[in-house]
Amino acid sequence: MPIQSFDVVVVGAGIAGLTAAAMARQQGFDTALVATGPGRFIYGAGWFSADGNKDMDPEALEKAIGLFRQMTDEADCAFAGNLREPQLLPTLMGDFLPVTLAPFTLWNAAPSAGARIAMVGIEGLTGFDENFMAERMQAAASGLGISCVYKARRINISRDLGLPLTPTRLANCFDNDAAFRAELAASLSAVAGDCDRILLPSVLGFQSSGTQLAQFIAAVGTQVGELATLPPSVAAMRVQNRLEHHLRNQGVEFYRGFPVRRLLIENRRCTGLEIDGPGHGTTLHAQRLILAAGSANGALLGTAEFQTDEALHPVTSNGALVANNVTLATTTAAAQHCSLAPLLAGFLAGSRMERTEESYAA
Amino acid sequence: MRHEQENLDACLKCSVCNTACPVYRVMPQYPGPKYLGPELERMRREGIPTDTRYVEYCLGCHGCDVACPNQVAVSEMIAEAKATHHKQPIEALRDWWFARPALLGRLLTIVPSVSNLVLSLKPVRLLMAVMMRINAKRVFPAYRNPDLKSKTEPKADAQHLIFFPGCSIRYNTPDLGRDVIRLLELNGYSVEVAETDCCGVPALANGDIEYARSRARLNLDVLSRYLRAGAKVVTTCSSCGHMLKSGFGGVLENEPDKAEALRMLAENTRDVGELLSEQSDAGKLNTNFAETPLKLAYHAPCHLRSQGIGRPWYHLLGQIPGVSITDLDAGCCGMSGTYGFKEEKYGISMAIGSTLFKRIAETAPQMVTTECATCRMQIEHGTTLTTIHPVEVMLKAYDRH
Amino acid sequence: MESTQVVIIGGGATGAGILWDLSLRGIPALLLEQGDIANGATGRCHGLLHSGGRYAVKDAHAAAECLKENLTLKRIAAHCVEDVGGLFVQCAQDDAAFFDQWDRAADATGIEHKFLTADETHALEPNLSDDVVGAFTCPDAHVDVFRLVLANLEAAVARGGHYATYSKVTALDRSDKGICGVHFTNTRSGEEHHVRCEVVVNASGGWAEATAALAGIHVPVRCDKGALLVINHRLASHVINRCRKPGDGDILVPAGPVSILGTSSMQVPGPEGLTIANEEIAALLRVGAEMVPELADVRLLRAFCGVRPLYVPPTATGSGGREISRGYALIDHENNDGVRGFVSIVGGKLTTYRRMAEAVSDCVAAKLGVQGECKTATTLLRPNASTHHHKRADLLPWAAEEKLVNRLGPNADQIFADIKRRPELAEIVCECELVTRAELEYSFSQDNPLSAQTINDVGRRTRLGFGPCQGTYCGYKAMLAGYQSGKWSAEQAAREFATYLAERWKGQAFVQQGKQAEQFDIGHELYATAIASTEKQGGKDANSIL
Repeated sequence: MPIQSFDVVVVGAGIAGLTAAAMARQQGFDTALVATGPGRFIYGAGWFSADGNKDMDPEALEKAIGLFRQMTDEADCAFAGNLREPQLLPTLMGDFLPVTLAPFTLWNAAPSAGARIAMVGIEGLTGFDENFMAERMQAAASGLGISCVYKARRINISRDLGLPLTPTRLANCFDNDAAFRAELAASLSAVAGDCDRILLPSVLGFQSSGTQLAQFIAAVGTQVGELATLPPSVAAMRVQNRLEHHLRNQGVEFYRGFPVRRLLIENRRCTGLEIDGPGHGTTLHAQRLILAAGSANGALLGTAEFQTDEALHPVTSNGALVANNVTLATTTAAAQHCSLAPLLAGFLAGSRMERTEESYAA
Repeated sequence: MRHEQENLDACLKCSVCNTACPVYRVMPQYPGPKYLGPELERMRREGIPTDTRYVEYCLGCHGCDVACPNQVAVSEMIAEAKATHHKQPIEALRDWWFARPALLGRLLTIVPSVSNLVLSLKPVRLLMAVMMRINAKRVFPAYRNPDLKSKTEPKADAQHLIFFPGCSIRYNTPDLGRDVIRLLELNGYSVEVAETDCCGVPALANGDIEYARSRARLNLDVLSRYLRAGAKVVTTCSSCGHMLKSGFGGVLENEPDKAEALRMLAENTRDVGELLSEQSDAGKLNTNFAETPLKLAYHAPCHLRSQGIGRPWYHLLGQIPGVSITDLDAGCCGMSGTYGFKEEKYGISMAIGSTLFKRIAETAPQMVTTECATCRMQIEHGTTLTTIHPVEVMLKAYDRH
Repeated sequence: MESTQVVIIGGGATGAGILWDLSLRGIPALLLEQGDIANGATGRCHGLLHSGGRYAVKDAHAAAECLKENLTLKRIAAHCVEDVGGLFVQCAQDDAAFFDQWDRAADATGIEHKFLTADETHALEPNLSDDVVGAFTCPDAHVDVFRLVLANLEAAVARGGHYATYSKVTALDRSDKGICGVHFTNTRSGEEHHVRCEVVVNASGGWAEATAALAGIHVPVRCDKGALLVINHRLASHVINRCRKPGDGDILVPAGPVSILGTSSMQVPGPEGLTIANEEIAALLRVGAEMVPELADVRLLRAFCGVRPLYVPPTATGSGGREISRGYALIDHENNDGVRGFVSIVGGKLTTYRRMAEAVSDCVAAKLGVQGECKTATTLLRPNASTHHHKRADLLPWAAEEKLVNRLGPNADQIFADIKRRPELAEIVCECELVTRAELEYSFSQDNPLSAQTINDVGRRTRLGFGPCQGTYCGYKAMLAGYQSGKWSAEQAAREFATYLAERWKGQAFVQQGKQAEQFDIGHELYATAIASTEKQGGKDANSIL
């Protein structure tokens, strides 16, 4: 089996790229994923907002969400939510945003009538203030006619995790140290009081699986929800890490950290790409290519002015086909922030893969 | 390729580098690559005195560079800052030696049996711990008579390769070096060992940029001759490979007369695994493997990942019948060459490696295979397993045939 | 305050300088500024402390004045000045004769300068274009405009002076004795105030015409807009001037960790509602790149613009903004318009602010019958600045400590004591500019005579949010600090932050080339929805100037 030849090469490790790669692998294709950073998902809280849904085809979106939920279930970073019932989730400004899909710890932060919610801050934690959030969310909830009560609480961490204490350091400790997880669970339990839910800034690990989180919440003894913080978003990175790890376990070959120097296209057919790296770079051969590199797609195609045909192949502004085996994971709708658009784009691109005689997979 | 001037401006403060940094993960006071790299660099350009309290805790693993969405040369900026760091006398003397493994190697291989004996004596190690702050628990690699002469003959029409062995092979495991040559000869190459010196990675890591520069110039001189004749350079130590491919870590950036030679070197260096996987894809790999039942776990060294060439050895070994191989995918081992030997860094080194050790225990392989010599040292120190270089595995498969 | 002797309208360098001068003479005064300090031209320029080289050829008098003040400010405001030195560079395509002309003019004016060959110039400044064939050194410097204004205010307050920001003058009382009172509104609370006085000084720069109109007087001010660009890092360690007839884009100033390129010149109807066209920015970069090629695609943090308030004397006929003299005019309206107790100061430039303030204060003192000479040229703004040797406290990273001590001087001791008591105050809140939590809290503190009202104010006092991320991360923390200090409710804090971000984003929106576009996107990713919802609730941009 050739080492640097693939049935499908995906460029981009954002939601679009990860989704397309998962679909390619699922269909049995020998798949590689080439990317520099993790894409823009990690700049947001880790959810998909409902803004912009109306501009997307509901049937396709439904399927894309179905696939994504399956993918994240397999990767043990399950998401909650569906198209029909967006939930209001708190932003880092303490107001609410309608969200379609979110990892279940973020989903748990939704307000509900009659709920008594402990808003828990951590002594010394920078970039988060539980009083601010409680005050804002109380006002926002009242404004929406939701009768829930937020009570600000604060816990102490005994470990010296350096100053300032940041969500990143807490998350790292959560990943590394079982004793810390136990201590945190106990502290949260202690301040829960008569509240039926606890909200805290997103610190529950960069690597934790859904199973581990469920165990943690069980140890606390009260429902726990995570809140969005300043970047780096722990919850979003957690999803990113788990999805990437899952894809690697499924056999997707990752080429990480170096940009694509150029696509190899001849006679309207892409034969592969060159990755820029130290030294002479690396050439990958590909039967099919999916471009999911967001704003970098244009540079790779050599033109910012491109469109796609019905098969999602790139087409120049004059209508000339660029390559018949390149599929673009791109959205025509103006991408709202944290929207489902990249997920849909990745899904649509991933569904276009056709099996041919030349497949390398056994 | 990573032009530092532009790169400072490419930083968007997203902090992804911090989440990728193994030291940041385990050391609470470590400010992280984002701060030590682009943020302090902006201050340095302003001419403000910047302290370098924590720069020497950087592993030099390039994890930050690889994680950065915008190709910021973070570790290069930190390496330059390391050069300005003022050390305490004990550490300064110790690190002076650590920066010069070739010198150390030449001295310790005069009478290797004596050197090995002395370095294994407990009282000597305790003394070294006190006088030089070298952790007493670490096992020094044995030194051997450097002998990289191949014991076999290449084929008549063999393609010529120049082997850059690196200090670890030259002075500690010359048998591995001879095995590399044999493996390449079995695949139709003829191999000449270049009279090269240390690649300079330990010098950079220990803040001795001037020495790194002198090694770079020396090596470039030796290798240029071969390159002009059209030969390719091969390495099997990932760190040496990264250095040769990256213009020796950029230390000769300000010498434009070297630029062309550096470019030629970068373009014509191959990791042995990289070379053989290209051969494999072209159908030219020697696949006379015998059934070799072996449960292996593979660990990708940081300096392999920073070359962006994928996991060639992982795939190559997977082709050997009987071999089952899993990728441990557990990040940095924590050793980083000389780093893990240092008393003040030992704890950090082991804390970083603990994830890998745990993953190894869960995987329960017979052996762990990895290209990097110090990764092997760390794995043998932190687990009860033996390690093996991928070249040895492949040779085993040929030899049994 | 019910009454004072002098009310100064305008909190730029000139107004603040006048407050200091009057306070030194023991004359009670109140300064009113409609926005925050340095709201007008002062806060929207290069921050170049001219050596006079730029004017030497065309206007020897202005050049000499600049030089004198340059040397004076380096003494009295040493802690506000980065004495980086300047270069007047000759590009191969420029008129060689002008280079010689400049040399002679600089000699005549007394500007210390030395000729550098092409090699010497490039050795000093490697980023200069190969087209640069030589240069003259000169004593140009960079002055932190906000620090300068704050220094004057701080010194004045210590001597009994008063000032109020966010105080917009709405009406002037006029009796048969002349102007005798000022009505002003607090633009943040809406409260109305009144203060009686004997003299009103109109130092409101671009608004001078509008202010004078409150007294029924016509003071013709031409508003000439200049646009400037902030570059992410230091391209040069000296001020780089193009040695040719003054034009657009021919000055590059190192300003802290950034560089500022400017400027342009075009007439605009007034000091507000300013905008910058893409072509203006492109033109600045094009010309700038002739001196420093990297400017063609370097990362720009933001664009900003300000208005030069040029006095148009009734007899002037010149058309271009640069043609009208950069000299200033002191108008005593008692003589000019028969209105007592009202004086306007118009025109001028930052470098000569102290001289302008001196002229005004002499005039005002004479009116009030107060004897004594101006002492501002010889009185240090920060008394212990030069002798205050700071022993390294090692509580902070060195770079952060250096910046903090430079900003706060003797007040830094209190900050270090605070940090010893509460180690969490050592947190670097603004990572781009190394601003500590201690300083952030101090900005909002009641004990601080120069305290901040908004997050932007914090920026002007500490440089928080002035770096590459433009407040994306630190602005949020500043908001929380304001909330935690009790200054704002959560609701107010959110609105303050929305206002802050809108201002930070406006400046970036003009320069979305390369990486700043991505930075901008991250900010929107984080906050756009939150800002939108806050704006829906009535958040307003108090300061509508770019």
